[in-house]
Amino acid sequence: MRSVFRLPGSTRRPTGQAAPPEDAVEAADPGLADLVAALTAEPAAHELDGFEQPWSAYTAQFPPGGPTGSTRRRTPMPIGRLGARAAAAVGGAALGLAATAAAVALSMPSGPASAPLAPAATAATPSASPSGRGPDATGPAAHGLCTAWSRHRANGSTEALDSPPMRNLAAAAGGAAGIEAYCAGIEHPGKGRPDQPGQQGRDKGDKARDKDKDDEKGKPTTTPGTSKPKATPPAKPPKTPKPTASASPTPSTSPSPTTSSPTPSASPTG
Amino acid sequence: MIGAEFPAVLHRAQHGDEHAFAQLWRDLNPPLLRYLTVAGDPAEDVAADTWASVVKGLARFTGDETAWRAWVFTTARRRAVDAGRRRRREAEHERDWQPWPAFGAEPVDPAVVVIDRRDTAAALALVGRLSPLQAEVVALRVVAGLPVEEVARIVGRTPGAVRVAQHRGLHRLRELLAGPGVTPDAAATLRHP
Repeated sequence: MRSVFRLPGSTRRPTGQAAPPEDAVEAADPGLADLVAALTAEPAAHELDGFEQPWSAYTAQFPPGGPTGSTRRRTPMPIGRLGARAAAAVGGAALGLAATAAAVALSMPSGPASAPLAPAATAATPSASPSGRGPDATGPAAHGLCTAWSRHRANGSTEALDSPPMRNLAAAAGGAAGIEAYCAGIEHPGKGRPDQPGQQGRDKGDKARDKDKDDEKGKPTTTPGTSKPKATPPAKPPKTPKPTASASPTPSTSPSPTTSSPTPSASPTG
Repeated sequence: MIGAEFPAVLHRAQHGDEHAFAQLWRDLNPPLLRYLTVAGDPAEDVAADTWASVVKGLARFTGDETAWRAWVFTTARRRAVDAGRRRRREAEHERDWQPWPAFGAEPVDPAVVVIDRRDTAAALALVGRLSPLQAEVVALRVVAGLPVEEVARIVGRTPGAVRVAQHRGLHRLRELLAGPGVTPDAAATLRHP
């Protein structure tokens, strides 16, 4: 079965041109609007089950403190105590949705398990740049910032490297040492790069070239779709910690992991 | 979709941040399950296989959010194909093995179809009644939110064929919603005599 197909000479639409209107699913009559809404509705509880297995695979691949693990202190996920679904909700919440975290905290049964969620709500950092000024290095400005950074570095301009935009970039990259790696992951808009070894014939370069400029204008859904977790699924009582597989990485008995979220002036950890 | 935060979230996930990985999972697991449901496989198992593959390849992935989604859904498709092959091999080896209904594939009586905003399962079942290509194209376009070019790569057809399949699939869905023996035009007439 082919997973790659390109017609020779297939056209790429010029950057900035919108997709043809007949591409858009919402161009269909209103009779399909409810169907589309049902297909793109917010996640149901059962669709957020089963995080434990991917989480185990992830921590096996990215062991804390291992070669691919983060070099800065992470807040471990309280997965054993809260259960996988709530832990995934907290994980999403800690990245800036303070209201969601508060809702989860309010709906969780009282007791030690609910204690870390309130501090996580107040510590959740907004997605704006930590210093409050200068471009947000986690947003679309990242590529420009990276370009400026490599230029400053080439010129040896240590003062320029200490400006607010450069400090935002360092914060987004988790420290000055991480900027190089962070920028390596920021694609130049329009530059193509293979993203997976062994993908025979799969030309991600084409994908990268026409990705966001023209295709985003042709995005099929009118609704945000399965977008940010604004509505957390109703809470269930915390599952009893399973003896295998999903044990929390730190053997601490106190449910404090999310209280140690960094303050906004430090790197915006998840 | 994660949106503007995506590059930062991806970067953190690629460097060991479990919370960032959780956000990536939370964003795509529901659409994955819905896509796999339309395809007719036991969705949860294949989704778990998919995430295992994604974790393995995560550190090497580069791309924006559209490329990310396309990669994850392509991976899901491959794992679904693998699962289908395993099932067929097992069927050959076990005479007593009986196929059991694929996840979510309950027959839908079109006469009583009422598409409710909340009734995702009914909507998925309806899409599942389309031809295989139309069903997959509609699922990838609507549920996965992928542009035509990406869908074309995933299903191995031209963008033109994808557009035709989308158009026909949506037309068929309108017919199914209108009920048996009632054309969309006649239905409109009934509503507005």
